[in-house]
Amino acid sequence: MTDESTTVRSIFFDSPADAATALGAALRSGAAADEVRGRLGRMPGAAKDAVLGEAGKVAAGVLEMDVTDIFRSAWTKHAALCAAAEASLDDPAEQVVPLATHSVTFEQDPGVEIQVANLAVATVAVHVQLDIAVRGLLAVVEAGRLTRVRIGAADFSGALEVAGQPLLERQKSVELRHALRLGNGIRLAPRA
Amino acid sequence: MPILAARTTIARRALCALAMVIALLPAHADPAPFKPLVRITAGWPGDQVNVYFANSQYNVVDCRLYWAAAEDKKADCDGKHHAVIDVPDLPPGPTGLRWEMEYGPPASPSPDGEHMGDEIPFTVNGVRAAADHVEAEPGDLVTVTFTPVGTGVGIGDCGIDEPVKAACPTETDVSQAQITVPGNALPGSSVALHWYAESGPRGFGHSTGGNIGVKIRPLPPAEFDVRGQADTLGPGQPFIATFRSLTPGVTITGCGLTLGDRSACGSSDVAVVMIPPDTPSGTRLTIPWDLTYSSTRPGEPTDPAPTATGELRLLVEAQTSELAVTVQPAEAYPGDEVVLSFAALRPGVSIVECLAFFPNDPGGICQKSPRRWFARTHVPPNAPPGPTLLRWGAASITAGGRPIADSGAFVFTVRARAGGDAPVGPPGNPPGDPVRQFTPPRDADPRPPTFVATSDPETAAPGTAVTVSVAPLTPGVTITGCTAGFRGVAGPGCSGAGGGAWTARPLVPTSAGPGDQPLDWHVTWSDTTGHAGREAGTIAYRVSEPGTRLQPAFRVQVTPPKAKPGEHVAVTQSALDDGVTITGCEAGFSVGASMASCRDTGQGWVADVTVPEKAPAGTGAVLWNVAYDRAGPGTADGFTRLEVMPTAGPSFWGKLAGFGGRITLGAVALVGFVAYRAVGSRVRERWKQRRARSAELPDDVDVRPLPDAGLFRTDLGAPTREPHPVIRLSPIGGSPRATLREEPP
Repeated sequence: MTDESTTVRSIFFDSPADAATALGAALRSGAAADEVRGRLGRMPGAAKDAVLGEAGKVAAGVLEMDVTDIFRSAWTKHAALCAAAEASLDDPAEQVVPLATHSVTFEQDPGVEIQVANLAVATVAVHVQLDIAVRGLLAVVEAGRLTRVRIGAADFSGALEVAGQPLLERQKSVELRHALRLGNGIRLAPRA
Repeated sequence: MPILAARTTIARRALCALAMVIALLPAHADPAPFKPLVRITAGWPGDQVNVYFANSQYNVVDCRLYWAAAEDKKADCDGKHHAVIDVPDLPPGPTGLRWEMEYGPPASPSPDGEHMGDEIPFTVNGVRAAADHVEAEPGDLVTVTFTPVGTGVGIGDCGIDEPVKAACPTETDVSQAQITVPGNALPGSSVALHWYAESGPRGFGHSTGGNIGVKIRPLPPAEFDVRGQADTLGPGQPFIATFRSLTPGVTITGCGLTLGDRSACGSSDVAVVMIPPDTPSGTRLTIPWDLTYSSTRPGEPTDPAPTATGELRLLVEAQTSELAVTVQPAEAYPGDEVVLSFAALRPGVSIVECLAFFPNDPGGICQKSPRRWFARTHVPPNAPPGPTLLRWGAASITAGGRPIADSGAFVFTVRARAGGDAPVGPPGNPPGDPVRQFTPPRDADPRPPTFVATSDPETAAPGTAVTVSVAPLTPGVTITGCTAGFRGVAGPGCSGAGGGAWTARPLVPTSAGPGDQPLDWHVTWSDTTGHAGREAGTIAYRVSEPGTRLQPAFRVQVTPPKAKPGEHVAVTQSALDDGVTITGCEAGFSVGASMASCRDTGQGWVADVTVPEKAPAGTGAVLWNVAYDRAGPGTADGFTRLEVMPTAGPSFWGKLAGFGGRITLGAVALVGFVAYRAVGSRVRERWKQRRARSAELPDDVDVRPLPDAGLFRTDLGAPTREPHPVIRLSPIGGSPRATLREEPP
């Protein structure tokens, strides 16, 4: 079984297929479609549908970003965590750092460029916004790295726009201990 | 008397036997008159337990002790009817100390005595340890809880020392130790957690230890998305499959498809195999795929690299060669117009739409006239001399409503223009300024019906009437009204023309300049379900300049449309325009073959062309020249699609398959074109003079010694190394922006 709770896509859609279907449908027939269709010019209608359907699949693909990367980017700026990481450089024991509730805001504007005969004719813009409230986090810090989350949850509020048109808003809570893939940890303090 | 004595002996023996049987019966059957005395009923392994069997009223003959859970641990009584036994190394908890003895009255003469026995409840003191998980994954936390067993037993120290160390906290009364299952624990195996505990009345004095087995849960299988670009393809077409990992932490490191030979993926995890061109239509191919991957999932084996395999299924349907595609002219200058004609060769198949374009050019969408489907496109004005690709695609539909897609590319030669010559383009709209498509109002139906619009004639001068016919292609749809007219001018209404088509005759505005002018049509429709709607479209109608004549169009049919090297095909040429009479023609295969002259059969001019023995399999072209008379002599040329079938089996194609084969195919085709241009031009000019009996050439023919187009300096890799998608979708990552907001402490 695949852990589906770790990507930006999974905040909005249950499966990659659902994402491709929803984005493709939005591009083919939603309010977002007119502008993109117009830019495809004299292309036959059936061809436009096919192109926009495929663009939906590609757009779904760009959402496959691991949420760990979001937290990686945010926590490297977290004062308490970074301070604990600095301290851990001199203390070989792991430190459990309780973090107060904090929030992370994430925005990204990926897209799909459509080229016809080597000419870029249209760009399907996707806007992703995530407001994340992190609660009850006990982070384990060792040797300047955040190596583990002992406990903690994140409440995601996400909004997805396609071609400038709102498509979807979702809320989802995840248990960070299972959602994050920290690997060798997140370096928070430079090596001494 | 002897008989009486014998009976007495028998009776005595029977009584003795009965007594022995009774003696062997369980003690509870005969409650013991006394019990042995035991001082302690709980103890640590190794402690000694003293049991006293002596009794003042009975004579204890023999006695012994043993443990119910360890019967080999026995102790016999000494001469004082006292036995000592060590507490065995049993798991802490209740157990039983069994005793047995033989006894009798103090004056009993019997040396055997009565037998009896019982069990004394006993508690083995110590510490029990239990884990909160019997199964876990690498990286999971496992908590082991230590529980004292026995009255007054306390735990002074405890923890886990294998496979990782974790001690119970000393500052609390919680006797628990927590470990993280090692990342290298092999899924499916069992990890032994070795624990230790120090216990005693004050928490110390006795050491206990043991192992707890935790089964490492097998990793869920990695999931991959492997899919082909189509479920149905034609023989000779490339089958493209994409590979993608759906499992976080799993990365594909290698992949490939096997159809004959194995074709490995490129860096983008895409593999391509060629469907053998001689694959019979209707064949269902099973194409195995394989991949290797690396994983950052804890505990996943990495050496050797894990693999996954599967199969893709593909239906092969011959349909690519059922569409005749003719290009006119055979080569052109930058900026020149090139016209492609499309014709469905299979009965009951109707073309729905088609297009053609050169790289870096908007291309042309097909139009339909009563005689043909055709698309006008232009050689890009900045196209360098030499070979380029002319791409085309067409969508058709069978009588049963099944869609058929077909596409391909010809190698087209761009002629070198002498310096200073202005590009020869169509009048009016310059290349790059196509007629804007009319966008119909959005219909609630996500799948609107399909209509086809026909204009007749294909070109007309200002002030001339054009017949526009619109007909539905979707079964069950009826047009209920329509208009058609040039943009900016009120169009006349349509009238039913029979067969479901509606016709209008708008006039080309007298103010219209030469070139493509938008001719919009609008229809209202309803279907058998009561559903109704509107649809619209635009024809880029070619307005001719009064007094000028466009190059006449010719229909060129290759029969059969597929042939093997060495086989003959008939190339039939006929004029599509009224008033044009063919006076002679010739045709030849593009790969360096000689041109065969046509003969007039009365039903068309036919040339017998032999496919060269070394012609590579795949899409080829038959070059043709035609001399005609239209109030004066003229010539035209072009080429028409011919599918070349392989002569050998899959091994032959296997050598050609893949990109290398395509490069070879393209290179051979280009060599043919060069030979045609270098040699054929001279032949053509002589032929023109012979056939047309005139040195006077059309205005748009410029006979010059061709400078070296630099064919072999051209980088063939770029246009031919891989199939160039007509439509390319490129993901754009965007810049992620993450901001952190900490609440004040």
